[in-house]
Amino acid sequence: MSDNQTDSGRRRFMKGTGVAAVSLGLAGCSGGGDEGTETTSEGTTSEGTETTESTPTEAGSAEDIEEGGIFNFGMGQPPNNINPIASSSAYSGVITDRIYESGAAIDPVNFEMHPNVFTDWTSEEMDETGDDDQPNVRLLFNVRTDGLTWNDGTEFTAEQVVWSYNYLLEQMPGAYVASLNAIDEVSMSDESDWDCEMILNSPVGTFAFDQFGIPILPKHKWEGVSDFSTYQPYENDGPVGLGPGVVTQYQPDTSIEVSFAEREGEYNLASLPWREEVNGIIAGGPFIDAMRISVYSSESALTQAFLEGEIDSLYDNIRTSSIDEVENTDGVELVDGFDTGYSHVSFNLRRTPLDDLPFRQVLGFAFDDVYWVQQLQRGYAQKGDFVMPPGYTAVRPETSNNAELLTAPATNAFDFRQGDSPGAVDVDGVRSFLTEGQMITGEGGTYAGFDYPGSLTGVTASQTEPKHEYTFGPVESSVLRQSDADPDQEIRVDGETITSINDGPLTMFVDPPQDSPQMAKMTENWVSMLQQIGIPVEQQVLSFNTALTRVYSEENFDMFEMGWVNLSPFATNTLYGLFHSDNADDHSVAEGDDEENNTSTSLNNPMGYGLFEDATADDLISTARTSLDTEARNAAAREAVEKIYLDFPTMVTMYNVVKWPVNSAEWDGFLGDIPGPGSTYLGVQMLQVHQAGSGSE
Amino acid sequence: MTRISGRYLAKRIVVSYLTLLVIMSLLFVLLRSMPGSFITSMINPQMTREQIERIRETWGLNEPLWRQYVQFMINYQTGDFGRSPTYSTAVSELMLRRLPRTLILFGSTFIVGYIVGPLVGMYLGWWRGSNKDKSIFSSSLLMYSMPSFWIAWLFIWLFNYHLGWLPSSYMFTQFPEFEWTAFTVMRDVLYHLALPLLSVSFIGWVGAMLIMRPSMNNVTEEGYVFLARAKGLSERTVMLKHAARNALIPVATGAIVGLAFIIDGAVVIENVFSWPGMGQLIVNAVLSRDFPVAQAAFFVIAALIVVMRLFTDVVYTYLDPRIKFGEGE
Amino acid sequence: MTLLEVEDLSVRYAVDDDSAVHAVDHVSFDVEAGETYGLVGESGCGKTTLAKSLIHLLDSNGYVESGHVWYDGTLPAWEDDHGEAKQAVIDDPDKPVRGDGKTDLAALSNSQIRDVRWRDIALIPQSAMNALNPVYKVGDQITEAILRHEPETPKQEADDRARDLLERVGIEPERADDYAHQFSGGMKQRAVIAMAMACNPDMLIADEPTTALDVIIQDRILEELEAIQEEFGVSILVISHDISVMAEICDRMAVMYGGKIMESGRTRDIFEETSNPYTLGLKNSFPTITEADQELVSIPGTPPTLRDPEEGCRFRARCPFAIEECHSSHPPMYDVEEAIETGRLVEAADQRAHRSACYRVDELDTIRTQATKEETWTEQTIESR
Repeated sequence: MSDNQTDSGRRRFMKGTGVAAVSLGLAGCSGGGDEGTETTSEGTTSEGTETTESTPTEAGSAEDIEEGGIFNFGMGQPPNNINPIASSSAYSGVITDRIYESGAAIDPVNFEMHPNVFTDWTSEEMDETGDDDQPNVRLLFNVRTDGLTWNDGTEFTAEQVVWSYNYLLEQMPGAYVASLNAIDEVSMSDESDWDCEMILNSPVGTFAFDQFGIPILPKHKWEGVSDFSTYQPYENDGPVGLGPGVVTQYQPDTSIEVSFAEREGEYNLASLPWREEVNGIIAGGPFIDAMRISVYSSESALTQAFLEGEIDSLYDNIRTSSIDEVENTDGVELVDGFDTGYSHVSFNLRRTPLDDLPFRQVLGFAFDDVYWVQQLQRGYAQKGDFVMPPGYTAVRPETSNNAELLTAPATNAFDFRQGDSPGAVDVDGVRSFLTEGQMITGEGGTYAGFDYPGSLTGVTASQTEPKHEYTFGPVESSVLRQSDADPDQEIRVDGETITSINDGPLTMFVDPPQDSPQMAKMTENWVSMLQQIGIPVEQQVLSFNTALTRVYSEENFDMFEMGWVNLSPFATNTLYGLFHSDNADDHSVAEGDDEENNTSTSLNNPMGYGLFEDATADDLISTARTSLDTEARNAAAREAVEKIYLDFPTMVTMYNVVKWPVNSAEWDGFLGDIPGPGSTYLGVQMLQVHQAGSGSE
Repeated sequence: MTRISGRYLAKRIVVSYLTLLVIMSLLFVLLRSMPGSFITSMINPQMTREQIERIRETWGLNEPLWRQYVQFMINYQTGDFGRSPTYSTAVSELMLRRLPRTLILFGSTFIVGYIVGPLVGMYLGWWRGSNKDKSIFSSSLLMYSMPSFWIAWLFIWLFNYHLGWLPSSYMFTQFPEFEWTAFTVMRDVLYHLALPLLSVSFIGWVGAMLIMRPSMNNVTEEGYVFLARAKGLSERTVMLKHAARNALIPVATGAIVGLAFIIDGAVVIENVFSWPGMGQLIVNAVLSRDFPVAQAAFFVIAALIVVMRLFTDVVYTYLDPRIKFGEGE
Repeated sequence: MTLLEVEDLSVRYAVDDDSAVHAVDHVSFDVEAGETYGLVGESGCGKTTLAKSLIHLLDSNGYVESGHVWYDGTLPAWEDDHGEAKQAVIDDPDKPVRGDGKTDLAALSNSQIRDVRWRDIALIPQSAMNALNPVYKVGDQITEAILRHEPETPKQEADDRARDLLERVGIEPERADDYAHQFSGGMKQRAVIAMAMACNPDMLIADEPTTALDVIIQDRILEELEAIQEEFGVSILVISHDISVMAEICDRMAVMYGGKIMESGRTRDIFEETSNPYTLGLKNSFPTITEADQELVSIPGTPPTLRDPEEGCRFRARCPFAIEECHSSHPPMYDVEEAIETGRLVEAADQRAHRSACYRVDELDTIRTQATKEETWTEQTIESR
């Protein structure tokens, strides 16, 4: 129930609201999209992305693996529903992802798109243009009908795929609406080499991820279902899909069994050749007879059940507070994983002086990363920089010039400016950074005492020179006068104190300390640092849900802290959703006049980044989104990511180090060092987990 | 031989109905004045403005509040509880699934509590001041002062963890190996019910006892108890038939309050025992701002209490012939 | 024939500090079959305790210290076909039954006395208004008593009897189906009287039968009692603080003070030949119908505490006629006639004779004269305790 499951002070936007992480809307395994222009049959998709530096653990060959056994899995939330297109809950995905398959699959090691239900595909830009003057794109693909049937034994045909897409185009389920919106039509192809074709109304670089990631529904079950949202698959001898499992018990509030042994017909998607080529992936599964899922009513009950051996593993990760206990327990292990998102503090760019880049950057200088990561997170976190987690190397700016992940100097532009004594910020250095009109725009130089080598991708910040003139004068604001930090001077923005500009000090929203004690300590530290510099900042404790409303619906905030999970490894959709002006409220109606006209819809870009000419990456994001070429897309995405870093609408505070607990005494074959090993890529794990002692290398 | 007049009953039913309307309105206002919306649980970082707008539209959140309210009131009175955005299913279905489980757990604890409590209260009140009374009374007060979840954990530790006699979670065997017949299911439910029932009943009876004991004691001073003795009736008959029967009357009032407390405790106890009932549902619904579910859950509970009130009014006339509803109202 | 012989009965209440309240102290009196016998005295004098102790209805801390309550009748189990005690029972030394067939109620166990209650001795409690259980029909409460003592009676017959009894006390038989709250105060009182007669007892104890009733109802209830007595031939032991009520209905009576009987005898004798200072004082404090313009004089002071009482006459502290002797010990019951006629103080041999516990029974003329004067009572110095 806790909305702070990781005990890290990090707020997962979704988890906090009780439903937990929302899956990406991709059946099979959630994942990203990429896709190349051309694929060879049964082969790995072309160029793909840069190989990650991560070294996946565990490998083995399918031949010596002894099959059988029941894998007990625990979740802290009920799945709610196993309708694959009506539910967006990640907990539902734990079940539906075993049942449904989609055209293409992603591997969690290299983030390449591979054949799945579709054996191969190609894409070409057409002459016609769509609504937005973008060229239409034709996708041609073949459907795997050999060695694959529906899980009730029914024969599988290419026509059923066409039917499935058209059914979804008709129903437009919310979870897939973005992907479906781009599809003009899906039909059987006239061309002899190809089974089907799909027309996109604009180039979508990640079509294999987006459009080929939509689950394929069985015509013989769904035909005649007029309202997808009310359909209950389990009550209709389902769910029926192309996946490896069948649901053999469904008590959504307590217990669900997905059996692999009892699946009818054939399933060969786990044995596709590409699987053997990906480091760490074991082809030929699933090896277990069934996966039994128990729903626990609380995180603590879940953890307890794992430690007592009731379950072999649990969803997502173990709470930081229980890591030591797991490490000291025999027969269990922690599988390491990367974050699929990041924790951040974000700023409202509509407000002065948060509208000015140097000021925002100074906020980063005052944030003590080491204290945060090493002391408060006890090392179970990585220092934050870019808005893509380190596991998603293809879209990390370091990749552009082979720089060291996370540690390259260019990723540390906004490191804490340590003063002479511990617990103090370099007040003079930071003040002169402001008063001298400096900013980190992407060019190399020394900023507030730290060297910065210049941007990795060559981008520069949107803003070219400071907007405001900063000076320091006598302390006037009461929040500073009463502060323990006892600053000797207070900042003036164009001659005025921030308190008088803003009608009060800058406000930082924080969770109630009992919910996230570490973040509370961190915020206290940070506010104190800022006050030492002479910036009037105060904390405001808000409940998570109150903060959500203030931030996402009303954009009525200065600064807030939260977190994202399950970002796309291909960056484009995430960047568009979180940083494009399309998803920000422009507050075109001046505040106070007629606020009603501003939308109260929760938008994912509350900072307003992209709305302003001097703070936008709209162009780069659009380029990345519409680029069909993988490398061009990734390059644009990396530039966008670094531009956002320099523009600093968001300060990424950390990435979680995921610790996924498993019963290693009885089970083998877990894949580590991937993002979300126990959540996003749980499907991969279930295809290769097997009884310990068999199939080792 | 009820002494409730049809007219009075009809009047009470109308009042109960109006009460429920007020409760519905309050629920509507209260839940919507909570910060957050279930929409936040449905959006993810990949969603665009259009998608989010579409979701809002689907759930009728773009309508003005007053129209949402009117629609809500109409729907509820036509038995349409709407759909749950987080469970993607009809709310009524959730209720039908969950409510019986809660009723089994708390119905049984209610019954046990209101059998044991008044019985113990009767004996203690009858022998008030005796050593037995003093020791039982003070130890039950001690028990009463323990938080229910703490007792639940204690019992789980003892009977589940330490002795391994009873299961500590769920209502059924998770993955049963036995054949499902009416008998095995019932046995299975009773087996799983044992520990939560024991934990809740462990202190659940004290409330009723606390009402019964002084009530019983007052009654022993009554002339009719003396007369019953003078008639030569046995102590047992005097206590049960004459004293306890009268002392029970205030306990019936307490039962309604007790019911409310029990529902209160359901949230905690169901979570401790992973009992898949309304308590869990309410917590999840509130946290995820699942208004349709939260509304319906609270409404069902309110309706339960209102109906129970009506029911106790009828029971009252049986318990106490002096009470006659419908006169001078 | 003597129905009840109370012989040297002492009843005490245990108190926390191991002392005891001597609520009834060495009391003896007889009640004849068919007569109305009154016990009168101020509240706290022990009259109700005395009555309750006869059938073991004392509060839990009360007990019979010594003495006997000989009752002409015995337990159902010990009876022969004629309702007399079996010879075997009389001969059994373990059974408290005397040669003349009288049973010592004081020696019976709790379960034994329950068979005596209501069947032999019924009791109309002090607060008859509250004596009906509010949750049961009045008729059923009568039936309950019948079925308790005559379990072989068919339910219907018991019910008919209950209605009949109600009718006899002037309540419509249909009202048997009503609840107590539907009855008026007088009706409740009469219903209790009807209930008392349910098992046709030989003796009826009426504890303050008229308290809390208005004068007209009081009268009717008293008439009712008299009518019942005539009809059933039952002995009635009336307990009251109201000496005028006693005058009206009692054949004989005893005046109690501080757990002792001060004076006993025929009612007429006690009123016309009052022979005890306490009785005189009590008479002064009650209006009588015969004497108009009577000035009421109450006895100054308060009744004594009965917790481990000191030696001496119980009344001496409030008695204007107390002499030295009164402090030594409580006076025995002297025969009044003997004292008047011979001037000698002789303990009465016959319980039924006019008796008075006063050392100055031989100076009755003086005392009676002085007692009519108000200043005799008001000007005495109350002995400090």
